[in-house]
Amino acid sequence: MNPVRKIAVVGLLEWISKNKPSVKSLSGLDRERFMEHVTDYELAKGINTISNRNSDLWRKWESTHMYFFENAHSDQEALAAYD
Amino acid sequence: MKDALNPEATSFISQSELLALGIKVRKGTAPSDRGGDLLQRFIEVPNRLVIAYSSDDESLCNYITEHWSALDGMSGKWCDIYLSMLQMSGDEDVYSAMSDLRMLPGGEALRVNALPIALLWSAGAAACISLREFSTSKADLTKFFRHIFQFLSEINGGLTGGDEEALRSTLVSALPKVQPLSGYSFFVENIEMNDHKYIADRGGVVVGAGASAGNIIANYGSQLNSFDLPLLASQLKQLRGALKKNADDNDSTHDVAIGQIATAAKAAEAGERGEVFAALKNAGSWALGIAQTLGVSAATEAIKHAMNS
Repeated sequence: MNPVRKIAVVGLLEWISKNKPSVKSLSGLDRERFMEHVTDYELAKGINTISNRNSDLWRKWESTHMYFFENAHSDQEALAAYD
Repeated sequence: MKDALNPEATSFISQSELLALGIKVRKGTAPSDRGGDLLQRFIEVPNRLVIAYSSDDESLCNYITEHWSALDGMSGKWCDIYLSMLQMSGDEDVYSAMSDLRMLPGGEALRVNALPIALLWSAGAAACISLREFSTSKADLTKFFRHIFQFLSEINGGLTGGDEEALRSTLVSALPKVQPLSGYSFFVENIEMNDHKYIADRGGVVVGAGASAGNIIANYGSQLNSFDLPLLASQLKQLRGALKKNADDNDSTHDVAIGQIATAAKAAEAGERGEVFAALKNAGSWALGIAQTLGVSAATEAIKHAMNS
């Protein structure tokens, strides 16, 4: 797993809370829907590389979804890999 | 995949992570006990705090590790503290995360030379408080955090721009004077939304004896987030080419301007908004004039904005 930093997730939460008021929860989102929000967020920041599904940034956010919502790894492994 | 959902993963910091760092978690306050959803909790808790520090800030680093439980308890229902686990474990520090921190409300003002910083924000306002001039002894840090959280409990909701003066007064009266006291940086900005982008109306103050404008953390633009960085990068490259063609070899300010525009273009390509505007702030009137003549409107507006911030 190689997710984005937690502080980047805070940025995503902040952005969604401001720009997508209809979204109240992330844990119910499947990966595809989550990545749609992430893509909108990164594009709003001017980071166009998120449009490339083979980019590192795309993979990092996919890993982030796995960490938070599909996590079957140990916390120790997450601690070593994640921030 | 729901079956594999880790209940702790719905919270921002897991109990296991905290325990692995030797941090005590009080009964009933473990992240997993709170349940809920990351976004749901983010929306429900009216204020958020990020403490940005490096391993050089040893006393603050130790304080947070040793007193996390107390901080978590103090912040109560009015504020959530978002910490970096890698930072707490010593594997990474704030320098690696500056670009992410700058995307948060008030975060565009973050500068390395103002660390450590407490970045506090709500849906309506943000305060960026540098602890640089404060004593960071255990007792003084306790005072600092107690007064911030007491303030938040008294306003009983999210920070607003109108709280600026009261929070300032609270901190000034609470914090011990250190020598030399050259002031500390502090601002609260009102945040409004316009076309899905932050528009911040900043009211800045510097407090403390001997304070000067030099202690203000630079704010590189209330509309900083509204610029299209790829477009800006393209126009800045175009501008750099024009500047090189028009430069006077005997005028060193032209060399400086070309360098600043090149730096800004590179930062824009990398998505580093704060660095873009830091460079453009020093681009100078000659570069601005060439940009206007060239008709690169995004670059022109960005330079104007940075120079006037």
